[in-house]
Amino acid sequence: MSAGLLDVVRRCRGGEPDAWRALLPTFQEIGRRSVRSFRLSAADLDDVLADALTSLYAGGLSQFRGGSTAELVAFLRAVVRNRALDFVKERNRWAPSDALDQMDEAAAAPGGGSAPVDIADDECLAFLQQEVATLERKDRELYLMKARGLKEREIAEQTGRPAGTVASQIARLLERLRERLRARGCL
Amino acid sequence: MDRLDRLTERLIGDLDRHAESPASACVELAVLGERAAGGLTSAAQARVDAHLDECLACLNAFIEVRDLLQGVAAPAPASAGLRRTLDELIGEASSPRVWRRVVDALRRPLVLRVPAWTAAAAAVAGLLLTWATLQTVGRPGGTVESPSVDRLAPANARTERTIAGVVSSVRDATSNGVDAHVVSVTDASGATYVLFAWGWPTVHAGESVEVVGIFTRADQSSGGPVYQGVATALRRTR
Repeated sequence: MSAGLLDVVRRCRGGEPDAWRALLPTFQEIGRRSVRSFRLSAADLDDVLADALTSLYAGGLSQFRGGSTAELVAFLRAVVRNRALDFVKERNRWAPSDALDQMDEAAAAPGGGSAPVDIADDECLAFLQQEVATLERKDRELYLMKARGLKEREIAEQTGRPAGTVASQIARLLERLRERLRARGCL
Repeated sequence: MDRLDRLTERLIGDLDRHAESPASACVELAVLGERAAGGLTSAAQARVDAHLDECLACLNAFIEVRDLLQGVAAPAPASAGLRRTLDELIGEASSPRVWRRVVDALRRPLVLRVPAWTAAAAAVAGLLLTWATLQTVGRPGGTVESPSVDRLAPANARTERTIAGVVSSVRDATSNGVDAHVVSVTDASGATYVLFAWGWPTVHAGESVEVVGIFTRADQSSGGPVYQGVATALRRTR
């Protein structure tokens, strides 16, 4: 598919309708995976993807300068994520002020306000990064995949481990990180 | 979402930003893609893996590329909505929905967004202003008090005058929903008066009329004198 995908994109840039139809499922899949962490509803995701597709069709695809499939998927990812960011900003801009206040309060209250010691976010972030860096490579991958919003089934597919094993490994890993952060006063 | 989730979100954001401007030691995206697809030689793969063991940002980029390439390898069928959008883009370029999307896509980075309530308030203000203007301008009265007819002397007087003549033409001048017309009248001396009047025409070509109005002389290089103005009252004389 990889060399074929670049060829499809070349034909899309030439204005071939069939090429656009061939690109569509791949574009949708890349788009969906790119904005997992945005937690959009299905309808909102459709809107974001439709906007991104329109932008690509209107000439955005001609901006792609890369020569590999990895660069292409990164390009499509950036287009969709930018649309999603616009969408979220727009939605938050008109969110009721009460909701925004609540969000601010929630953000200002570490651990929902239950933390016995309040350590600044930056310091806790640096600590978390350091803790993640000390994990074994396979645990680091698990943590990053989970953080990127991959489902356990998807993680299992990509790592070749059983889904049940993945679920328990992730649960143990996150609990370990929580304990470390708690001991540090971050939770 | 607890604090670990929020910190994790920030960490991923930092790593993503790093991927946009990677350090010189970092592995190129195309190489990460090859690594994910298993297309590297064993030596190159060992070199890349050694870097991924050390560099959290590159490992994060690698995981994302691997995930996206997995999507490329086995994409789900496109949704009906997305297929419809593409069909509209391809087949019906004139479809309003498609053009609205295209215009939105182009204008998004260019224009200041205005909240809907601001636009609504501006529209209401515009309507009120139009209404107030129309009320101020008013309309011609029903009758002309004084039939005393005179020629314009001087022609550019800006006070109301009454002239008499024969209507040579009547043209519609309705604008922005306001009914109006333009009447051309020629008097006995051959002078022509081109007059703007509110409302629907009440006179027709060939009729003798008296016109009360405000006049000014129009520049005319040749021919008889021409005056232009606004008629405040028009009536037939026979």
